[in-house]
Amino acid sequence: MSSRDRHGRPIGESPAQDDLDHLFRWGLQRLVGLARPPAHIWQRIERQLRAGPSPSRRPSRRSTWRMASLAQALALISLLAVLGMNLSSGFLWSPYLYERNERGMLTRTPAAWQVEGIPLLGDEGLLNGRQTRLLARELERERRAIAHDIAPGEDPILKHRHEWRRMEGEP
Amino acid sequence: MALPTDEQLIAQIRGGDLQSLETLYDRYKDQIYRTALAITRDQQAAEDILQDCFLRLHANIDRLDGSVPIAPWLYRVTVNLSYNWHARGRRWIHSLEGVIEGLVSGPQTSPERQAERRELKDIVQRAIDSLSFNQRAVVVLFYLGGFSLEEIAYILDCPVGTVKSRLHYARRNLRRWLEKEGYWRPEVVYEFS
Repeated sequence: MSSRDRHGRPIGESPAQDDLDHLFRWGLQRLVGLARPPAHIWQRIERQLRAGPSPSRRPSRRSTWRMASLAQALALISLLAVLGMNLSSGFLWSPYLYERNERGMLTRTPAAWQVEGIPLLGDEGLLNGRQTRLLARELERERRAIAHDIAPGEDPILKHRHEWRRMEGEP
Repeated sequence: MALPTDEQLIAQIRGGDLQSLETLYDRYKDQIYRTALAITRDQQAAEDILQDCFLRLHANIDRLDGSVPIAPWLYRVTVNLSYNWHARGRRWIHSLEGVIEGLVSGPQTSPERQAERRELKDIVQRAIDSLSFNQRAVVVLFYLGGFSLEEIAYILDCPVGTVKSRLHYARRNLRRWLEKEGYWRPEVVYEFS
């Protein structure tokens, strides 16, 4: 047949290229052509298959990372949601975080729905501990003044009626 | 008694027969290992790739078409795993020198002949080292695996034209590298035996 030359090479393929092909075929055969895998590879495969799912069925590191990211995102969203709810509705935990004897701390302003549900004491609100103590002293002084001004058994309303009337008459 | 075909073995593996998987492993382990070793040039990587290749075969056994030859699928997995290994940056750190030192020609040849062959082998090794991963994979499958261009196209999941192109540029790069290093003169007749 005329498709090959007298050396058995396909026509159109240069001798140099043919030699190059032979060189690399020969070289690769020399490099790894006799290499054989160690016998323990099959034992490793068998052990893994008997132990459970193969590595390809196990969640990869990438999917594990994705799951971790998802969990982190969910935790962050939950935290923000709780924080946002508390910012919008007042601090739910203020009675638990602030003991009554920790007067140096700010007393939180309760939300409206909390006021409806829980009777608010007079000294609660925007006062800090020092102001609360001052207010208590003021109230005590007032109580004493009233007690001094009004004799026992005397009606304070009847005694000060004229002052109240004057106040009502003012523009 | 005739040996079971790949199709029969795959059917038995589907039924949970590990002995059939071992038979299939024995049938293809050398080719897969040598291909992985030629591409990665790392003995440990080649062992891991061989192991992972057959674990994947077992994991995907229900999805494989038993009527189609299994070898191209195994080679595709091997090349992909080699590429993953290469992409992780652990490429060609270790030299094959230690691995192949024991594989050079036996004591029946003269010391001069052994030295000559060793030098030629090193030249080829370094020339192949100079190729990109894609060119190297094509060269290994073509020259070592003996696959046709169409089979390589299937294994690499790319058009035949791409395989031709990669092989052409790989040959050109190899020739240029050899000529540049003074190892190759087209007019010289080389003897490979």
